[in-house]
Amino acid sequence: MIDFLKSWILNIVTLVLFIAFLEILLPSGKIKKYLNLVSGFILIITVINPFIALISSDLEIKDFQIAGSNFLDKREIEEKSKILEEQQIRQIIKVYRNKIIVQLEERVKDIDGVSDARADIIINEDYNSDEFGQVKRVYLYIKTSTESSGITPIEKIEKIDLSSPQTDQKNEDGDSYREEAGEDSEKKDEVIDTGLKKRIKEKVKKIVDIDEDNIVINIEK
Amino acid sequence: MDILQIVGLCLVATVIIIVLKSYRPEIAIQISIVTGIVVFFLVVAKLTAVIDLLKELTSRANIDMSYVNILLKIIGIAYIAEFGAEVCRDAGETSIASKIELAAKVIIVVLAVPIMTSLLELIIRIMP
Repeated sequence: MIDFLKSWILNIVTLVLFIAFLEILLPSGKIKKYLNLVSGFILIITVINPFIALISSDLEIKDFQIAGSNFLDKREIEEKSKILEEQQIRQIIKVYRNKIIVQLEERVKDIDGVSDARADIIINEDYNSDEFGQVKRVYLYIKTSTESSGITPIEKIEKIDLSSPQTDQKNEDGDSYREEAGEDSEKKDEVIDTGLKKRIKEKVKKIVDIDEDNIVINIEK
Repeated sequence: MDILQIVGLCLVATVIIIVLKSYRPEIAIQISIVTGIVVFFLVVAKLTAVIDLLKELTSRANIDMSYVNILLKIIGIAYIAEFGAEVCRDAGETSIASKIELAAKVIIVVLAVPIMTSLLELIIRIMP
């Protein structure tokens, strides 16, 4: 009992001395009354603290204090985050978009027959919707390379008969052949392009999970 | 002897400020700010020693250190706010000075609210 009283009185006396000292330290302003208020609270808590132990042993005053300050901190962070949220989301979208674009470009460049690629995407920027961040549309600008499409087939050259007197006809024949060859290469290009486009679309589909109709590929030569 | 240093510094600063005020008032304000900071740093070492001693004393008396820390925080906030407000008031910006005081009060109240709520909770629990 004596020990209990001793520690109790010691607590109160130390705290009172401490508060008196702080009041000297405090600048002579309007803030003095606030310190008085807080120090009064602390003094009351110190005075009634031993009685808590008598009434219920599991009561910890520190828990209340921590809970209170936690609550305040939480609310403050919530308020701050509300202000920052918009800005943050815009930044997130920007970074996300750049990353996807870089990834797409790298992946598309890996495909055979593509020498250079530029990408542009449209993203769902409405952060309230469930599909926030989904890629809506992909635009790809691709440069094809001729080397990677394999060995270019050697054109067959017909035997030129120099001795033949019908040079005009030959010339005509040659023209027609040339035209045919041109058409052929165009067709071949188309085939290559469609094949390439299909491959690119499949790859893009795998990367960003998007409908094939929303992938727009422009081939630049 | 420290008080002589500080008073000497402050007197020199005051004379300079008075001389400069009619020609370059903006530099006069800067000198007053710098003087305030220098004086603060001259005394802050002594203050830390005293406060450390007091902290040790309270820890021996098994008072919860968080309360003592809150009181010290309030003192610090009061000092800084008072310093800023005085500088503003010297420069003639009374309204900004009162804004600083307002901010200091709000921060002190935020520090004080957990203590108040815990006291209230305690009283509610104690009552049958």
